[in-house]
Amino acid sequence: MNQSVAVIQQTSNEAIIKADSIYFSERYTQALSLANHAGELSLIVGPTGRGKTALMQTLAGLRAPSSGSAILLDQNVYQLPAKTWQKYRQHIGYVMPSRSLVSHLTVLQNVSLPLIYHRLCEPSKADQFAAQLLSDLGLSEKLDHLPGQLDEPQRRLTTLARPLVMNPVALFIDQAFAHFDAATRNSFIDLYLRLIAERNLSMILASKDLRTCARLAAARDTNTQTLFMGEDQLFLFSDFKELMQSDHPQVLSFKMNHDIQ
Amino acid sequence: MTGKLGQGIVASINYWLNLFTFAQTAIVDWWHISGYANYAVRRAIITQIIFTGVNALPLIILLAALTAGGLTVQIMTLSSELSRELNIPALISHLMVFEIAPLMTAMILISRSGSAIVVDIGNMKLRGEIEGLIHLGVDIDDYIVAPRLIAGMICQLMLAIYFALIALYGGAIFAGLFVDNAHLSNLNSFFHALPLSTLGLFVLKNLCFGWLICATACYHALQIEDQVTQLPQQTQSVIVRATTHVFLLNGLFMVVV
Repeated sequence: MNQSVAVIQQTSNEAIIKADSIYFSERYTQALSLANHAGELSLIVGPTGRGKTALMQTLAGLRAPSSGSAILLDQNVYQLPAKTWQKYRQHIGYVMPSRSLVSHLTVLQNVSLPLIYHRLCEPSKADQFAAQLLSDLGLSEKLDHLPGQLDEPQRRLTTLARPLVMNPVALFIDQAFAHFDAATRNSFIDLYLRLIAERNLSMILASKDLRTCARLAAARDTNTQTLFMGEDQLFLFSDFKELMQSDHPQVLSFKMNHDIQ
Repeated sequence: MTGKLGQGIVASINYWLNLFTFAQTAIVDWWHISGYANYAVRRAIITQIIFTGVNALPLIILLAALTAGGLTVQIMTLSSELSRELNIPALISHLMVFEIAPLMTAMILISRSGSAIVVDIGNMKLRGEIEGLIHLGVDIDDYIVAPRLIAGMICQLMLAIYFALIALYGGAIFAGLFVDNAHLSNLNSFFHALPLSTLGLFVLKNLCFGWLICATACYHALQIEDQVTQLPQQTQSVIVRATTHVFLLNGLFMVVV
């Protein structure tokens, strides 16, 4: 399954996710360029309403930018024919907030659906793959439950499992820590880091929770590219530490809201 | 006054074109992307057939039996009293098969499945489930719309066949048992009284009705954006519009025939 993508990952030194001078929101007059390689994590942080979701969707090929190019797996996604893009999409995971699960399908059906729909394997095998992944995520006893019967972290894990079951090379996670308590946030930090390490994923994660993002960045050995979405300016830092050291008024104001000096 | 009428006509034509394009695109997408080979889509079609067709069967049987006991018996008795020269089997079978069965089944489909489709898809849209599927690369026309259209067509046809058979033969049996034994002789005549062309038109008419009802429901459901209040509005709109569409199409068939 997904051998072609494995080859792309091993042979290409190009960034998996790349934005080339994109304009994605009327709020910002700057063009944004960034790149994310296999095994790298980029953070998008900023208060609510700054367009984090719009940017994530633009980078993930779900929402065309006003200008510029979003490049995934060496392809300008907005210039691909619909059918080719449909094929590429299987390799790009986008995790939305947890209510996006199909409410009348069980947890197992929700996770095996993309495998069956894209005909990546036989339905019985798809159930096996999905059950295995859900067990790895600690949901082995919830396979026959409906999404409405799960708590918030379990729903988020199921939402995360849906793209993961297709073995994506890039993963976008929106509202990565929303509605979690401190203990759950910590367990999700571990999970995201484990996914990057084990699957060599190119991951972009959006959150308004500066403290948790700081813990996540601190837990990594390497730099974490960070984009801060200010009131009318974008700030791209090569590492999260630079954001924390920045004394720009827009950054300071956001840090003060999180009681971080 | 004339201006408003003109605007209304243009808006209606525009609406019809949008609806037709929407329904046609869904079927074309389904054919090109999945066809019958995709297990996920096939499972969605079967689920819809069970909901739209199988679960509606008891209601159709009841209504058909009531129609048999009321309408068919009355028509048989009255027409035989009015004129001995009337071809009663031909009259009744044409009326039941070509007019009453498709229309009654369509009304059941609108009130039962049409409204359910809007609520189902509308809620999926409001909760972000549709967006979630799109993000997984699932084509909504292929996985959500087409199965409902296909199931709607199959179920409208099958339910109308059940309705017509029960209303015709049940009526003849009722009339034979409770009014006049002579009516039992019509049992053999009903099927032969219908020319093959009428049967063909019956099939075509029901497929069109099923397609139109479910297309209207899906089209309106996908218009819902982010307001919960749009859900009852669109549901009401579907019931009114689908009923109008069915009667207009029925009129068109009448003119053509």
